[in-house]
Amino acid sequence: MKRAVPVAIASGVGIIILLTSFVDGSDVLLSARDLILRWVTILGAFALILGIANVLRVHVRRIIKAEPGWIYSFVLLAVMLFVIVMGVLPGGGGLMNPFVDWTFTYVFLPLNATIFSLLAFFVASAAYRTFRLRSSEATVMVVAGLIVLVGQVPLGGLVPGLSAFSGWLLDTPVMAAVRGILLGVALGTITAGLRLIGGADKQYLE
Amino acid sequence: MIYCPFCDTGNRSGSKFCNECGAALGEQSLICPHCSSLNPPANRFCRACGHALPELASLASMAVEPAAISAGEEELDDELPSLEADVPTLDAPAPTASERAAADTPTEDLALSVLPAGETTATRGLVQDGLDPAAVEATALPILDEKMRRPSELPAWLDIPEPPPAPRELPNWLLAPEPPPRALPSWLPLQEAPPQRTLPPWLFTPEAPPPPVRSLPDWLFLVEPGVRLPEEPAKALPAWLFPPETETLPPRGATVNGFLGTDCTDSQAIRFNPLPKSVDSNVPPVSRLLPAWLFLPDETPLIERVLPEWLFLPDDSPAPKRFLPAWLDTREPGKPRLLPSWLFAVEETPLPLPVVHSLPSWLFLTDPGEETAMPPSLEAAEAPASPARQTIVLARPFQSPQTPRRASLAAGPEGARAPSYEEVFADILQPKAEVTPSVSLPNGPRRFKLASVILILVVALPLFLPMGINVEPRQDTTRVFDTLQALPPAANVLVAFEWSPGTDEEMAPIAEALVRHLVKRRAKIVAVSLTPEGGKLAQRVLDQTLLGATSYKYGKQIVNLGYRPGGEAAIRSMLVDLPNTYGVDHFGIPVKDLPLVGEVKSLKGADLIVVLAAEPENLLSWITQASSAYQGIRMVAGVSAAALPWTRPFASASQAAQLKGMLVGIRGAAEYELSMGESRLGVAATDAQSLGAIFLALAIAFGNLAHLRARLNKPKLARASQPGPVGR
Repeated sequence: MKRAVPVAIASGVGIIILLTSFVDGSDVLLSARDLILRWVTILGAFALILGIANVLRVHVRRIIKAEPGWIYSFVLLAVMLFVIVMGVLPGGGGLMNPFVDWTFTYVFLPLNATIFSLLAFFVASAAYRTFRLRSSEATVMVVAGLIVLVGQVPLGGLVPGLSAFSGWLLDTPVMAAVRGILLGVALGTITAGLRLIGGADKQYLE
Repeated sequence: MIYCPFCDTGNRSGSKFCNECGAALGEQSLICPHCSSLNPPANRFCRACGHALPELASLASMAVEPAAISAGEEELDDELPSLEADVPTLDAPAPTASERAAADTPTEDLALSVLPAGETTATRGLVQDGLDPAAVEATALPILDEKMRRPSELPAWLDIPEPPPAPRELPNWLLAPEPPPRALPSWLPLQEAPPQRTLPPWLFTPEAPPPPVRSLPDWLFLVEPGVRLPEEPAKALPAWLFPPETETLPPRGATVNGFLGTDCTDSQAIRFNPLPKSVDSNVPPVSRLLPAWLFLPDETPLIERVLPEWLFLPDDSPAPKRFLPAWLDTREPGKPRLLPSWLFAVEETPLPLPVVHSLPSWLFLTDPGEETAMPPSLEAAEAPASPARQTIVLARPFQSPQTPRRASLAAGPEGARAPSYEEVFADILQPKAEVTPSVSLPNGPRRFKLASVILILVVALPLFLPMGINVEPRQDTTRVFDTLQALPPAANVLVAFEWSPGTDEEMAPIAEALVRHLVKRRAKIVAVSLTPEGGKLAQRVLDQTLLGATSYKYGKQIVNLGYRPGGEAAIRSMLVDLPNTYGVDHFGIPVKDLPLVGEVKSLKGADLIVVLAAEPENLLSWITQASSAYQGIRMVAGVSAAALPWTRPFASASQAAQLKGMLVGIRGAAEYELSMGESRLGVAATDAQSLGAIFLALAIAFGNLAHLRARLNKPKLARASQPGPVGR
């Protein structure tokens, strides 16, 4: 009973959503579908709350135990609670609260962009150190990467045929491989959906 | 051929003693009349059955006077009628003549087949003894025939127990020829040249009495103290079951070089006792359950260390130097130890290391083209240079050079202040000036810094000094432009902002170009997002593009609904009912107060959906739940360059393609700006992107050239590191 009810709910919801893709004109099915989709959105919001609670638990414990780097946990919790409190205060303006907007625009956005920008230097170092022609396979990979890298930028158009060959690589071999992967993913998704609807897959209960 | 009377072994004619048992040949033997066993002539009673043996003279008389034997036969024949008279009433069928013949013939054949032609067991012995075989056969065969004939005269079920065995009741060949009874049947050894054993000797129990004292090695037995084991216990098991002895092991107390794989001098050698105590006769036996070589030697002064010295804790040596930071070392008196002492490296003997580097040069970060080999000077320095109390000194990777300052610290008394981290690693942090020219300082970090500066300049300069590289719009970009250009006036366009601030520099030019074109086309824009930061990023883009567009009123021509959790389920919900999916917009305004949202109602009511996604998963969610679900939806996309391989299959030129066009990366933004006749951030960033790509390509090329040079120079370095011949 403890496991049968969740399995029955999951199977019923899956069957209803699946039927709405094949059956038209049933108001009951459409109403049930709309209700389920709204529930999913609300459950997604609750998942965010659970995530916030988990972050709180982990970092509060680190601060209490004075583990190495606890000061960073403190900063994280302070900023997070500040933004949450300012956003949910009645009459505070929500996301348009000046403190929240300032924190996002002048703290979060630059820091996040900075971290991502460091990737350019890592790629430069990796290009010099690791992209080696050690074997025939590595040679093929490095040469193909060089062609696509230079052929996709406008400066590569100065080399005759380079952009065209780069486009051929992307349109023919790369797309063939990607399509194969996507088809495999689609088949796997169908299988997983049928297993969930049939009650054979109960990993969500664990 | 002379047969031995005791073992029946055939011996060459003229032999005086048996080859097998050593018995004297040529002597006359006595045949037991009861069991037919051969007995020496001096015996008066049979050695097999104890029956009284006749004298040789009487046997000779029997051979000369067969009438006595025939008289005995007549006595036996006289008893038969009486036996037959006892069972006259039984109506037993008398055997026919043929049955009697069949019963007689095999018996005679058997008797003749197991013995050599013309011989019986008895006659053979008599022949050896010099008796006449014809006379003996005349005495033996009638008895045999009589025995074989008697059962055939009575039915088998009338078998009456035989009377006590009369002398020579059974033929000789049915009796054991040899006195010692064998477990095997007697007919097995009966051959033409009867061997003593037809089976291998190891199947027989040893004749000598003998139980082995121990069948297992000594060390498996618990020996009482004081009890000395026999020197060489009898071994009943094969030798290979016993433990190897001294021949495969070095002698006790031998000096073994190369212990633990390290060559060491005699003074450094480690002596140990490899012999089991059970083999060592000098050591008295002790009570033990396990072999002695499992025990640590304790009573002999030869065994000093089983393990290398560096594994032992210092006993009463002065305060050793510690290689851990000072705050981890709590050896001051009165302070409890946080870490066990064996975690601290002990430095007991100063090692004469040259002041070159605290770390070997080959541990430093090197450039791909600089595969520096360890110089011979360092190799010699890191090898154990001098013995320290017979200790195998291992090269310590963090061995610091001996400076006067450190020597004074090491010479402190027990409990002196331990050196701090900076003191221990001072030589690492501040390399000395006397650096050997052969070991150059690693310049990898310097080159990395130089490359980083060049990369910054390459990317930043085009933003201020545009190069004006010609950018030709690609087909995907053209189709996006054509799609937006074909929108009717006041079309409802839903724009999804699906990226995070990390990719904002790449996605923002795309979004701004598309939104600007939509504004030019007077389209109504509904901004949505499934990414938490999407609402804020969308508002920044809208603020930038609508700065001068005074005709756009919020709620009527443009709406920012912001973030909505739920992923694909939220898209599906928007596809059905957009107002109820959100409830309020990004600013908290109820959706019912926004006429534009009520006008759109759902994704189906949008004339175009523009998805701006940095990650391919976000675009695939929109394609799966919106574009693929309802064919009437027209969708274009703007993606990052990294997402191109995964999204390109959905943006083909086919009419059935899910995407009607796609902008890719900074170049896509530049192409779109140029298509609109503008030159903004996209065009400027394209120059930077082009130079950055060329820089990375050159880095790959130079890295491979350096690698190739290092591979070509590697044999030279290896030869240079080897010491040359003396005298050159």
